[in-house]
Amino acid sequence: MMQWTGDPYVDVGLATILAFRNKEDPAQLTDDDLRAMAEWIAENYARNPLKSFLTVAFTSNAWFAQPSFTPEKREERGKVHLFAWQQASSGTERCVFTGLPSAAVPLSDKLAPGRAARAQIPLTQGDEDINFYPNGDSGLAISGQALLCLQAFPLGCAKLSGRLLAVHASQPAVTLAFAREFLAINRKNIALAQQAGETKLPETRYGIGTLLVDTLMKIIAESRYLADDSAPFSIIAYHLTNGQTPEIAIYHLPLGVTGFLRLARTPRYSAAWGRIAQAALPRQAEDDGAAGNRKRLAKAKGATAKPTIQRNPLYEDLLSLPEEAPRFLRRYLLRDALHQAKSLTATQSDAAVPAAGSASWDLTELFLKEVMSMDKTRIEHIRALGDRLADYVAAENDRRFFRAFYSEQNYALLRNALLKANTNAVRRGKPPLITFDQFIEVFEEGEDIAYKDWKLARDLVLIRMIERLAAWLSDNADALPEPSADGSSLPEDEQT
Amino acid sequence: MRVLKIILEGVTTSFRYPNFMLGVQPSYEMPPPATIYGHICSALGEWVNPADIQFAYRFTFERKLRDLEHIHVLAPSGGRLPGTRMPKVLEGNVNPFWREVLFQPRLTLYLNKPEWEAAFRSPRYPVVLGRSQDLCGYTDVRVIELVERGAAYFEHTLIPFDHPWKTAKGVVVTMPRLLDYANNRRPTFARYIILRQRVASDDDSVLYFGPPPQTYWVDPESPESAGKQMGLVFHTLA
Repeated sequence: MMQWTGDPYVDVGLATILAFRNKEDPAQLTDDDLRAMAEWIAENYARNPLKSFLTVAFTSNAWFAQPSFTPEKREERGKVHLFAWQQASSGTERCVFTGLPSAAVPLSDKLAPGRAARAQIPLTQGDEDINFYPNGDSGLAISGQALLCLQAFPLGCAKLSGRLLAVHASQPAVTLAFAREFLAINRKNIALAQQAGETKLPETRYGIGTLLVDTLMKIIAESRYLADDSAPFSIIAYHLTNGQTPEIAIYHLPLGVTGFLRLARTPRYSAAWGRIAQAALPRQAEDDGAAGNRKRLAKAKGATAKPTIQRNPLYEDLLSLPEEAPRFLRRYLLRDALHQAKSLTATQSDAAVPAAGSASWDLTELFLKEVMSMDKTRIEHIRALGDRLADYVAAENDRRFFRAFYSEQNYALLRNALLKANTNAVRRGKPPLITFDQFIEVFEEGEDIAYKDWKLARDLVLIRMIERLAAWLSDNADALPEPSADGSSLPEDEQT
Repeated sequence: MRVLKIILEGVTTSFRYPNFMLGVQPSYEMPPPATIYGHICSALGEWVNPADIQFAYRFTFERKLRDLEHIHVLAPSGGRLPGTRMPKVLEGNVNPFWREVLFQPRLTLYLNKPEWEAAFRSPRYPVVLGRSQDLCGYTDVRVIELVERGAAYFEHTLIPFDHPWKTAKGVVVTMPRLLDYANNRRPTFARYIILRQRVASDDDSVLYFGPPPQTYWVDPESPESAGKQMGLVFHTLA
């Protein structure tokens, strides 16, 4: 019986077979299902566009691509690779992926029976090479079932920048959903290329993060993963080629990031998330414009323009989380708060302003909790400080303090501005804006060097302040710098 | 609970994904359990029974980078070495490839074997972690008493995927759990959560499947944060 292994190659291959047969659970797979997959591969891998493209997965020594093979030998090797699962194995070794007995068939003239190498398993060594194998025994033991999964593996990947993008999730259903999406696109492209007599398989023109997150959001929207109580999952994407210059890059979407994305689509946060996603698109339009110029220039010169890779900066930046969370927060959430305040002050009356800008903080709070694991108490202190400072600015009309708090790059000067405002409030018979304990809670990290992330704390307080100050800002629009798509309105050292 | 606490520091390390051998050798961001077992055996100078070992750890590094290396990729050969009567058994070419390297690694290892303190104070083989060229050193080796607390935080550590409680932070990876040296180093793999962020036992992101534990093992020497100290999740190898 087939089952998930935890290995990206085998699991994505297994997911591809499931998707090919429109099934959900490996336990549902029958011999008929495996045979159907094997027969489809036998028919299509040995001809274009897959024959030329799949050397990126299995090298030109693959059974369907090796130019020195006679048709008989190709057929014989194809059967060995695709139907070994049918044979009762007498192999003495155990498959490194499944733990099943290894296939007792030779996969090349140089490997011991039941062992596979670079022509079957991407990025392993060649048939005779001994490096990285125990005792210098070339190849890895593999079962017939795992071998078929490996053969199916590239069909469940996206073709991107001449490589394969395999998506492996901690929840098999998510791995299956990605494989289903990519298989559908591949089968359509294969059929079109075969009809047109094309030798090349068209490729996805998206950046890795753009394709990954765009597909994930589609999967979330269409599946039960939107539910708050569904199991969390993390994703690892492998962008690889096993061709002439082997290469692999690994990208992570951790549990917290996928949790954030799932919740960002729910009604409470969807408006703010939609705005941010939309705001990220103008850069796309600029790229398209640049691409259009390049195309026109190339046409004028009689050359073919290199296709542009489309990147959604928001989706690409999600791949840098949680390590780059402060930068992400500044670039998207603070910018969104600024855009909101600016657009509201330009278009709405005072009476309409207060409610309209809401939800920026809600989404920020979700980000802090899901992605940054920020302590609930600290979040509460930040929000409360934002409220108090906003009330102070509005009541005292203290534009100087607002601008200092917004743009100060020197921590000591920011602290001085806060102290002055505090003193000012107390002098007027009001409670202090911030107590010592609250100050420590908001601006210090804890065990590490004090004030390490004071700019992050300042940005968070600002998001809340700007949201709360919508009415005041409508009368003091010039207190805000001009928001711009590239974040150039943000404090100087916080761009990029 | 008395444990042996070992602090290891080095300049570089790398924990290669086992089946990516060519062109680029990416690194896990935490040492796999199989690496920890090999490290313990290296210090002791013998293969010890993995079934007796329980370990927990905290692992950090400054940053990840890529280093260009050259490998002599070798294959069996025949004939004689040129100009000699010596048989040639291997030949190969130099291949460049990129290796992911973790800079300035720091491992705090907790072992349920306080009796191994002397061995770690005078390790049998050179102290390495990851690759043989990644020389490291122990900056502290001693026995401490862990304490039980009603709450703890966890960070920079590895958690078994099938652990009774799970955190909705981190990344799920499949790692080598143990290599069977009696059987041609046959690997067994298991799934783990690499947790680098700090999460507390009472966070919303910590999910309990069954009643939450009454107490957690905590390192009493760890820094305190919001009234909690660092908890330890112990692993077994067999």
